[in-house]
Amino acid sequence: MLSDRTSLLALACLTLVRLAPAAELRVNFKADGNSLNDAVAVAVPLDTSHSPEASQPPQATVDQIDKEFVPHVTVVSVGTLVNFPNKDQIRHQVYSFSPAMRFELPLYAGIPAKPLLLDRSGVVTLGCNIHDWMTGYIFVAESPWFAKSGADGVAAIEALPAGRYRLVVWHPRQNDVSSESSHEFTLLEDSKVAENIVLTLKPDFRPRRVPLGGGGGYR
Amino acid sequence: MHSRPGLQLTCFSLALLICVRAQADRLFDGTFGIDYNDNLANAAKANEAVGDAAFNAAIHAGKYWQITDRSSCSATINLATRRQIDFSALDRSSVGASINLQHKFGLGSQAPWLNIAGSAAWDEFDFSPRDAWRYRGAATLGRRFGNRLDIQIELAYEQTTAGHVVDIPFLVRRLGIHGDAFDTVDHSLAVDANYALTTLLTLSCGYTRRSGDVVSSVPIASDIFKASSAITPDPTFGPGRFAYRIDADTDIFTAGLSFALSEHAALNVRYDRIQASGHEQLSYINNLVAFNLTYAF
Ligand SMILES: [Cu+2]
Repeated sequence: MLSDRTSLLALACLTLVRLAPAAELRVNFKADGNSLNDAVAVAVPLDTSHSPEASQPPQATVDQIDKEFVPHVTVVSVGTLVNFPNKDQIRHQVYSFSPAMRFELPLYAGIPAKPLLLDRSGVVTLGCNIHDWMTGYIFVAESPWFAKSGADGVAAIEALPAGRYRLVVWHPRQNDVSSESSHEFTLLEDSKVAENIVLTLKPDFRPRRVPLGGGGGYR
Repeated sequence: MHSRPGLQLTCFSLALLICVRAQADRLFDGTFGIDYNDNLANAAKANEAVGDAAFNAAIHAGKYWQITDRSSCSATINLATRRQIDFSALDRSSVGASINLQHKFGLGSQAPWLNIAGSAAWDEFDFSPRDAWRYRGAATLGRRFGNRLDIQIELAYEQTTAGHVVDIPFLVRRLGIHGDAFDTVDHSLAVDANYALTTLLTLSCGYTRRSGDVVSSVPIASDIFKASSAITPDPTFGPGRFAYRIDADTDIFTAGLSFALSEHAALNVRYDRIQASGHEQLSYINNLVAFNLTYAF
């Protein structure tokens, strides 16, 4: 009997969700005439009543695979717990000097005991003190409505309540002096809005993995 | 029978690598290239200088251990071979081993580091009197400055000890001259800088000041005879030549470009200008150009 009632309740909830007037924002990122991968789009509601209540802090994962951070760019919202599982057979030592989260994990293999709580918005640049070429980024968004572009350059933020928003965009190589650029837009109920963002990129001068000259070093 | 020292060294290194396994990462890279030296004989007189090109290949294989957050050590077996185009007496195969201890003073890619390295190798030449043990010890201090520049300072000691004793006439020995011209000792101070011109192309410049023995293989002459501390017949560059060991100060200027083909492979070109000056105003210049392809796993 209980299961029947639960099913009915679930069906009602699903119908409500489907009927809720949600809009979609598609941001098309381009740089140098090409689709831009790993670009971040965040819709920050200007009407604060939109913020959803989360019962548990969201979780995210940044892996270390073949001495690289995977994914290279991760987007989370403020209050997310981030795990750094090491999938390599060797040890890594992950750190960040970023004002949004300064930390240094001790040298470790496997999964660190405690995930890291990211409680401030901003960019967290990750490094590994053993493998200097390892660089990764966590964009900590001030809103739960965010997306990251894929190879097609499209970042789609779905299920957005109607209202006024500020669009924040970011890319690890964007040439802008300020780390974020933003502008405002309004979403009507059930609407689909497309934005085109063109960024200019700077070169990625991280330490080189391949040795110089005759080799013989640790990579 | 002179290949035995190399065999012993290989066995010792293999045993060392197998014994220490905990949390180790593997090290493996290979280099293949061609180089040209316009004065292989280190001759002071232009008409005695000979140039030649050579193919070379080298493999470094070993293990790396991260001991603490800031300290690591590595051990490798190094195999190398060299084949001259014209002067086959200089064809060489070598087997060796090296140990590195590294400490990083802090956190981040811009923290300075210190590396202490020691290596030993047995070089076996086509012309066996040149066969020698080669030992090297070096301390290197380095750090990155910003995203594009890194600078290293190295203090090194190198010694070669010939594997065979060469007999020289008694009269020459009475003059205080020895036959071990291929036994050499030197120490050097080097400064190297690498600058990323683009994300793929790195420019390297360096200067080395080396003090110690050099070997010049030239026809007999009184000035070099007086300047030398050891002499031995050396037909490497033709009959009638002798190898003279001379104490000299050597300035080495280097410039190189390295193009990253991938995360693991690079194409490198390098130019060295070597200016040596010894006693009796004996001086020579070498120009060395090298191309190579490096692959690091
Ligand atoms: Cu690492």
